[in-house]
Amino acid sequence: MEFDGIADPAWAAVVDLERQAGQRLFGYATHLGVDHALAADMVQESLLRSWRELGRGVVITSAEAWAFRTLSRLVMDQHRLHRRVARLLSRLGDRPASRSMEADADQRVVIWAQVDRLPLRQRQVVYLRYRADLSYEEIGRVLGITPGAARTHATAAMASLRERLGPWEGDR
Amino acid sequence: MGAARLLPAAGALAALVLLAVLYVTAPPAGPGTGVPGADPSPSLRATLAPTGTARNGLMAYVSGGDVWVVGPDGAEPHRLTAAPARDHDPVWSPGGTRLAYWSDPHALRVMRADGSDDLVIYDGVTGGPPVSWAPDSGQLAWGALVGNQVRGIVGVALDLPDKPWVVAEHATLPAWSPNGTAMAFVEDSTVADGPLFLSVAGIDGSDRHTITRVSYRVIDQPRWSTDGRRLAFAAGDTDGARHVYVLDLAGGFERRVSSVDGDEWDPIWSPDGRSLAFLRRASGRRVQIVQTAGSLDGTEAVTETSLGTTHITWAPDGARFLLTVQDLFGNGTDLSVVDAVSGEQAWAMRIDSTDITADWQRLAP
Repeated sequence: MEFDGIADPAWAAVVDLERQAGQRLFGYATHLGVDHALAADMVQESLLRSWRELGRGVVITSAEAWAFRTLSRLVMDQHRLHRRVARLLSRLGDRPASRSMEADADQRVVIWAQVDRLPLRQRQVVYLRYRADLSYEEIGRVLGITPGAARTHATAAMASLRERLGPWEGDR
Repeated sequence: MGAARLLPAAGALAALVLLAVLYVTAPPAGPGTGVPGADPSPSLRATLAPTGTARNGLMAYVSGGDVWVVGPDGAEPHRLTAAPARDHDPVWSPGGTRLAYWSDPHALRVMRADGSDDLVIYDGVTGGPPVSWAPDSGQLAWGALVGNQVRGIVGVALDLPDKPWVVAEHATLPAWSPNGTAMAFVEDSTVADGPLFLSVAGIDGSDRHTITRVSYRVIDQPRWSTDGRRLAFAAGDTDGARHVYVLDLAGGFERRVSSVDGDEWDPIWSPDGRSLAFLRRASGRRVQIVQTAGSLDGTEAVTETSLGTTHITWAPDGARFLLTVQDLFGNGTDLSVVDAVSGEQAWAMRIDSTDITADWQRLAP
């Protein structure tokens, strides 16, 4: 890549990395349990992150190992998010998490859009519990409220979400 | 995940700050240095706040980030604090003469009922609600970081604010006993979502022992009965329903006061100590105010109220409940006062708040 005629050595290194390790990175991601489309996205993301780090002057002794580690973290984050969504869905009335990533994404969009309409405290608690994975004790410390109050906000939020979302399409 | 990453760093910083300002001392002599469960001394008896029914005073609440009070009939709401900081969690002293509240970031302040003599009692980055007043209204306890990554309960006498003491390490959510000699609290788990127990100890930390039979993932602040013989608390799994339990300190373990399904929280003893009320969300649509019979062997729903009901307080005269009810679409919170027998609403007032705490001042009969 060139910016105003100046070659970007970091980009050149990443292109080289993709050529040498791209297929293996892709295979690694699918081996960790994500579908092909998501695996391709995650490989691209790990390469982009490599480029950003190199561009910032970070010394990476083994770009390939660094990319694999980054990819591994991305996949694990995705799995954790999937589990959180499943947990949130089950809290919203025995709705099983969908098996496909696309349907999962749809559910996420619908649910989090409703979460964004909750009162401030409820919204904060739901985000900290189901996205940041904090315990109610930790949420209490972050927000300056008691764990019991955090738990009560979560309960009120779940009741409100159930009310707003109604029967889930997958239930019909 | 940003907040989670910040916590260890914030905790370490907080530990340094607290260690710098908090030197551990023995609790001051006088009320509250006795053995848990022992009868209070005659001199302590004289200082105890009135137990049983009292007159209804002002209701303290938070609106717009400031502490406000309003008369028991909803008249003359007026603001007591006006600093830019977000104030929250006001709690009246048992005698009704002072009001403790938190002022962000993490300052604990105490002022007189008219808002005068507003003093900082504690200013550490790791302390937080709830506070618990000693029955003589002269001492306070709350949870804070008391060592390197160690949370605990800190106590302080209002006349010796520079000499706080550590009541118990690895503990949180204190509740001072009605006779002033003991404190009930939640044993702080060292891991997130770890097992939690209730314990009791003297206010100097002596004779600390666990009193719950099993562990829970969530326990709210315990509440002493007015005679100091029983504790009520809500506990449950992390994201499952909480249930209300009562524990007889003379022996035996906790037992549920109801077998009805649903999330239950905020157990509060009636001022005469004969009954217990709490909130229950049973059907997923409405919140019930539930009251026990005197023997605690049965419960009855007093009334159903809004889905947004989050907190209940018993009026000092025992005749009414104060509820905080959040608007479901985020347009503030209602303070709602309902009859404790009929469940009929006496009056309600909309406030600008998403906090759920409000407290009712006790006045001597």
